[in-house]
Order: sequence, then C-alpha cells, then structure tokens
Amino acid sequence: MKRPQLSFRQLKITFGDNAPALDSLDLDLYAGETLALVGESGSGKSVTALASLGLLPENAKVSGSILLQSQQSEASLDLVQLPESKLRPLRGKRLAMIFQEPMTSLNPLHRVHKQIAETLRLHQGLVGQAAYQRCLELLKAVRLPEPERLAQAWPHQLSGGQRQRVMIAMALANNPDILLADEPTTALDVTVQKQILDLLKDLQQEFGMAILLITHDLNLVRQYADRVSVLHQGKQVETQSTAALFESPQEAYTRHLLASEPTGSPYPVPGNQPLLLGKNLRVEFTRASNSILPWKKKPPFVAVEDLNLELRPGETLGIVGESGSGKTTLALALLRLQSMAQGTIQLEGQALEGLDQKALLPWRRKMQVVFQDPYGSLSPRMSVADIVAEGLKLHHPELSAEEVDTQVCQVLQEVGLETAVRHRYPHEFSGGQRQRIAIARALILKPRLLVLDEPTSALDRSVQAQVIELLRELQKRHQLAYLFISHDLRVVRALSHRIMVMQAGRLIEEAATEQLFSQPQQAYTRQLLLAAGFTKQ
Amino acid sequence: MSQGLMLSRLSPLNQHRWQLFKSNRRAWWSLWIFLFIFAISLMAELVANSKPLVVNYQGSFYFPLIEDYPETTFGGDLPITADYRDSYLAELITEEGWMLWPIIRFGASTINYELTQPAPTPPSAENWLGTDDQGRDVMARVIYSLRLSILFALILTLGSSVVGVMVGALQGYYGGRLDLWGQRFIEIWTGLPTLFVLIILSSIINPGFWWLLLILLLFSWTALVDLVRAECLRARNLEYVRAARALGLPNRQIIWRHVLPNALVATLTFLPFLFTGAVTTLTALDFLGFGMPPGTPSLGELVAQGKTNLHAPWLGITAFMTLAILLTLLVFIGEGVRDAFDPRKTLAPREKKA
Repeated sequence: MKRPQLSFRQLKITFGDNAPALDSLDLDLYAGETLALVGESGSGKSVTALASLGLLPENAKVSGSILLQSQQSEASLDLVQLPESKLRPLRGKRLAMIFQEPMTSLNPLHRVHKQIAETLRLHQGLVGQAAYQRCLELLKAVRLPEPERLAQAWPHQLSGGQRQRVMIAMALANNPDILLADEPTTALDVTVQKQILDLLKDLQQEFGMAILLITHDLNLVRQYADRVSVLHQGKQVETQSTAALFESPQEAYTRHLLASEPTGSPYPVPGNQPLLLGKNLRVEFTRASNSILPWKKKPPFVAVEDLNLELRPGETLGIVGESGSGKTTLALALLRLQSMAQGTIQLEGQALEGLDQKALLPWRRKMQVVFQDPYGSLSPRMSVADIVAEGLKLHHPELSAEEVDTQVCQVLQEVGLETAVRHRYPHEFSGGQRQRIAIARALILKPRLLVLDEPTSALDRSVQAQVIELLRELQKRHQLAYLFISHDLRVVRALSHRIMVMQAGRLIEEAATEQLFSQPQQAYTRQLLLAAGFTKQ
Repeated sequence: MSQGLMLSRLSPLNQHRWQLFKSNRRAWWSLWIFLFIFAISLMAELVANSKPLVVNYQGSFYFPLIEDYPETTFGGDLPITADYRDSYLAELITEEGWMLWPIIRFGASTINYELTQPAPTPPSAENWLGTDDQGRDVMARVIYSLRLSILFALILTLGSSVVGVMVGALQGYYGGRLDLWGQRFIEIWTGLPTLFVLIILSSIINPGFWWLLLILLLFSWTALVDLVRAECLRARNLEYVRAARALGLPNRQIIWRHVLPNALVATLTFLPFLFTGAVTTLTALDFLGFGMPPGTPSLGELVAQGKTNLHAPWLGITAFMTLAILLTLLVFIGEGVRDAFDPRKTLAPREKKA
C-alpha cells in the first residue's frame, strides 16, 4: 500500500484565547494526487498550509502532528515538533508553496533570474552560470515564452499570469515532493487561471508531486482535483473523491456549499422607454511622454472605444471582460466620475455630459454605485448611520434628524440588516454585511440606476448568493436599472438580462443572456465561456 | 468620570489607540510629567514672583499680583509702587499683618541686590539654582523660560500643521497642475536659508514673540506637506471617496470628512517631533541672540550665559538639564504616539479576534 507523503493527524491550531482556527484535522496527501481543500474564508484552509511550513505567527498554539515522509527511511518527520533550524532546509526543498497574490510575492527589487537562483543556491548550492542555466530550464518548464528575456526582466514588467508562472518556477526549482498552492489563481483572469492550472496539472504528471490546492472556487475543484476535503469554521466536514462529492455529498454543509452556486434568472423587464443612453463613448488617458521635447506627445491610451449602450428601467445589463478591458472605466464615465474624450450620456432624456458638478447634483441622486471592495468602500471612521445618511442629508437638507433616522432604519431593514447596527462601525461587520451597508447607502437616495462594480467578487459563495438574491428583489421592488460589472460569468448570468463582452476597451459582443451562453458568436466569448467551465473542450 | 465621557465619544479605533498609548508606561509617565511641568510653568506668576500673593495689612486684604499699591498704602513714605522685597517695607507690613509669598521670591527679571558676593552666585537656600551674571534667580528664570518655550513651540507646531495639512490636502486631492506647481514652489521655498533670512529680517525689525513666530512659521509649514499630500493622493482613489463623489458631495466636504481624517493619522504621529524641533529652534536662535528681545527669560539665553560664565557651572548645568529633560520627555511621548498609531499594532489584536 502507498504511504502518504504528508499526513495531518489531529491537527489543532488556536490563536490566543479564541476558538480554534483549525480543529482535529486528519488528512493524507499521496504522491501524484491533487487534494483540494475547500471552504469559505475563515475556515482554516490557509492556516493548514502555513502550519505545514511552520510559518504560523508566534501567538499560534499547535497540537497534533504533521507527518512528512522521510526520503531515506520508513520513518517520518513531525513538522510540528521540528525546530526552526531543521524546518528551514525542508522549506522550498521538500515542501514548496505558491501564494495567492502574484503582485506582492515577488521582490520588486530583484530581477527574475536572481530570485529563482536564490532558492537554487540555498538548497542545491548552485551558483553562477549553472544556476542561470537551471533558471532558464525552469522558466521553459513553466511554458514562459522567451525565457532569456524574461529571466532578465523585473517583476513589474511581467503580467499577473507571468508572475504566477515565475512563482511556480521558484516552487519547482528543487523538485519538491509537495506543492502547497494557496488560492494560486484567485487574483487572475479566468482565461489565465485556466492556463496556470493546466500547467500545474502537466507539471504534476511530469514530476509526480502531490499538490494541496487551497481554494474557495468549486468550479476549479471539479475540474482539477482528485480528492476534496471540505472545511467549515475549522472543522473537517467531509473528505471524498471529487466525483463522489459532487454527485452525492454526504453532509448538509457540503450540499449547502454546492447549492450556493449562483443560480436563477432575473425577473422579466417591463417594456419601457430607455433610462440610460450612451452613444459613442470614448475615454482616453494621456501617457507620459518619454521624449525630452514637451510638444512630442505619445498617443493617448484608449480605455473605452466608441461604445454604445442602452438600459431600461428594471433591466440589468451585465458587462464582462478581463481585467484591463475598460469595464470599470466605462462605468465611471457613465457616472460622470471620469472625464470622456467624446460621447453623449442621457439619463431620462437629459443629456449629462455638458453639465457641471453643480447642475449634475440632482442627477447624481438618480445614479448610484456599489463598489467591489467591501473593506475599502466604507469610511472606517464613520458609524453606519453616518455613512448611510450622508447622501440623504446632502440631497434633502430639509429633513429633520428624526426623519433621516427613520429613513436610515427603513433602508437598513430593506437590505436585510437590523436597525440597531446603525450605531456601529464598519470594521465590526463581515464582508457580506458591509456590502449590504454599501447598497443601503446607494439605495437611500431612491436611485433609478445602480452601477454595481464587481459587488460580489470579494465575497464567499454562499454570501454571494444572498447578495444576488437581495439585488434581484430590490430590482423588482423599485424597478431599478442595474449596470452589473463582473468577471464572474456565473454571477452575471444569474442577474443579467443582457450581457456585453468587452476586450481592450472595445465591445466584442452583445446579446441576451441565454443566447450568449448557448450561442456565443465571437471566438473571444467562446474562450471566456470555456475557461469558466461552461462549455467542454 | 470626564475621561470616561471623553473616551465614549472617541471612535472604537481611537479608543484602542488611547489604550495602546496608556499601556506604554514610559510614554504615559512622560506625558504626565510633561503636563505637570507645563502646568507649573503656566502658573509661573504664582510660583516665582517678587510680589507676595496676599498681603494682610491692618485687617484688610491686598492682592499685589492683581493690583499695584503705592508704598503709602502700607505706611511707607513715597507714592511709588511698593517693593515688597525691600526690608524696610516688609518690616512695616509684618508689624501690622502678614504676607503670603510664593515658593520662590523672585520674578524672572528680579535682581537680588542682597547678594553677599558678586554675581553669578552659586546655589544657596535663597537662590536654589544660583543667580545669573546679572543677579537674577536662575530657578525663576527657568520656570518662565519653560513657559515661553513650550507655548511658542505649541503655537508654532499647531500653526505649521494647520497650514501644512491644508496645502498638502489641496495638492494631494486635486493633484495635476496644482500639485506640480505646488511641489516646485515648496522645493524652492525650502531651499531658502532660514537662519540668514531671520538674521536679515531681525536687523530690519525688532522681532518679538509674534514676529519670531510668524517668520519661523513661514519656513516650517513645509514639513508636513509631503506627508499629507502623499496620504491624500492615496486616499482620493479609495472607494469610499469615489462613493462620496458619486453621492454628489462637494469637494471641500469630501476632503474634510473622508480624506483628511485618514491623512491626519500620519500627521499626528509627526506632531510631537515637530514640537521638539520648534523648542530646539527657538533655543538656538536665543543662544545666537537673534531670538526674543534681550532680557526675556529664555532657555537659549541661559545656555549663552552658561557659555560666557564657564566659572559658574550651575548656569550651564541647569540649562543642559532643563533642555535634556524637556526634549527627552517630548521624544518619549512622541514615540508613544507613533506606536499607538502604528497600524500593525493597532490592528494586531483585532485580527486575532476575526
């Protein structure tokens, strides 16, 4: 019988006096398999990976054992008991880790080859030309084009996908037995995500590593994992083979997790006059000139190119595209928060593009926005009541303090929060609750148009489903028009009547939701759908 | 009670910072010692004065601190302001009443004419820290000059931070051309040699307290601009600032309510160090003789006296100890404030909770 490479036995991790972040985890990881660790944020996924490397912060108390099979003998090492000096040679050599954020996990002050060579020098004693050659081999192994050029590049010159490939190359440098991948593709676009995971799969077959894939994305798990272990609030809920888990989940929580994939479709739109009309919208950014002659200017960067759109009351227009495709810029331009090079915007028949900030004020009330980051979109120094009431006080200065308070309570109830929360501060709330507060802030002005800029991207799946349900209900009740921006096709599908696909500032395709998913016309749309797992290869 | 009231008005984040500051024993004690010294110096007239606090003469009360009485009030011969230190007059009063003296019976410019040896005289029971080369009590002068230094530094720090924060916020929030030209102006302005400008100006006007403050303010406001500007440049792209713009909030309200509170954290951590700098600057100017008008009690003047009278080491030692203690206390307080505002320390316990 095969022996596991890495086994967790009754692993328990506690921070300070709080409830354990991870409780009695029993898990085996075999060579050549991909084991997915799935759960919502705070379920103890990342803590498991950090514990295996002995990288937990000092206030963590660990009990139980993490057994790493020794290479020479039958015996195994307990990583929990091992002192720091014995752990260090194992890190990067037997166990390697890929982190979530490719933007910050490379040192910006060193060239790519230097960072890879560092692990080679530490664990294999390779220096000089030998290290450089090995570095080129590794860059080739992770399928990077032109390894000679990229080896000399600085991290900021690489795209997100390229950086993650470099991170993988660094992880692979010493042929580790175990690769811990902590949300390796969460920060990447769907098409890049697919490439990276395909690469990991290939490399696994080539080198026979065991991969511990930590993710919240069930879609990835279904495509890439051999076995799945579901965690919930530090407890191991269920461990099964992937196929078995998706077909017959044993535990209620697993079923809940599987069911919280965004589903359903929006309520039908009542036929109506268009609420928002955008014609020939074009947004340009000037680029810094690298000539010393001040009149020699670079051609501007076109973020949105000659785009037309139309939105009716009660309708949701989904905008999908990868990062940098101009989705958010378009939304900001429509809200008149971003200046346009050309184009006209009409809201309820009124042209907005010529109005100055003062004349725009009454129209601001009618178009509101909810942003992506539930942590950044609420001022940390204001109570919930102040945050929600701010716009109301501005647009209706005639209201008395009691009337404002009544309206705040009403709108908080409407978004599913208790009225008592209005005296508390944003940091006391979870991501989903904060997003509800942000929606309340927009909703209290009784807008006609709500721009939703990735409102669910930072939330866990089950919370996501709740927020989508809320948005759908609100739309029906108030006949709101939504401009819904997202890179997540599942969420867009659940909420949108029509979908626009954008790439590099241009409109690629526009169609009714079901039509787009069943009969995509453009190659790029098909590629997106494939990467998101809607169509099989 | 009042502290509890104050705390409950602070946001939870600030309450936590206050707790952090309190838990830093060194900074906490430094703050109290500093406040004690400052309070004493604010009451300088009650602590060190050449006039008694209360005089009881023939059954009625007199308050020489508030009102000037002629000698004739107490049975003297001349209609001039009473000199209570004069032994003749003192005798007249104590015969038919009593006098309540402050702890130190010298004002800042009171000259002790009853010295037994030529000034400067060493510390004695009468002059605790000795007298300076004009026969004035050093202890009294230290107390008065501390008040001057601290008040001057306080006003200068507040003034330069108000101007600096305003300029920084405008530059950072609006960015673009305003920022570009503002930065170039500041670069040129900070290139001006402050000391020389001050020396030239002091030859034209006779700088008093406010003149000196104004001139120093002209050059010290730039200290905070870069810091606040950088914070505001960052803050203006935060999503809640964008959300406020989408609400239609006017720019000044956005700056006041959303941008500044966040930029001020960096400023606040800087303030104690600006304060220290202001104390040092004033002392240096006084030492060089370009500061306060001659005769004003100031730490710099005391340092200068110590330098010219090396045979009277109590002058130099007093000046050194006073400055060393004051600046050390301020630096300790500054460190405490800085640590309390350190986001890593502020947020660390909360992360554990989450």
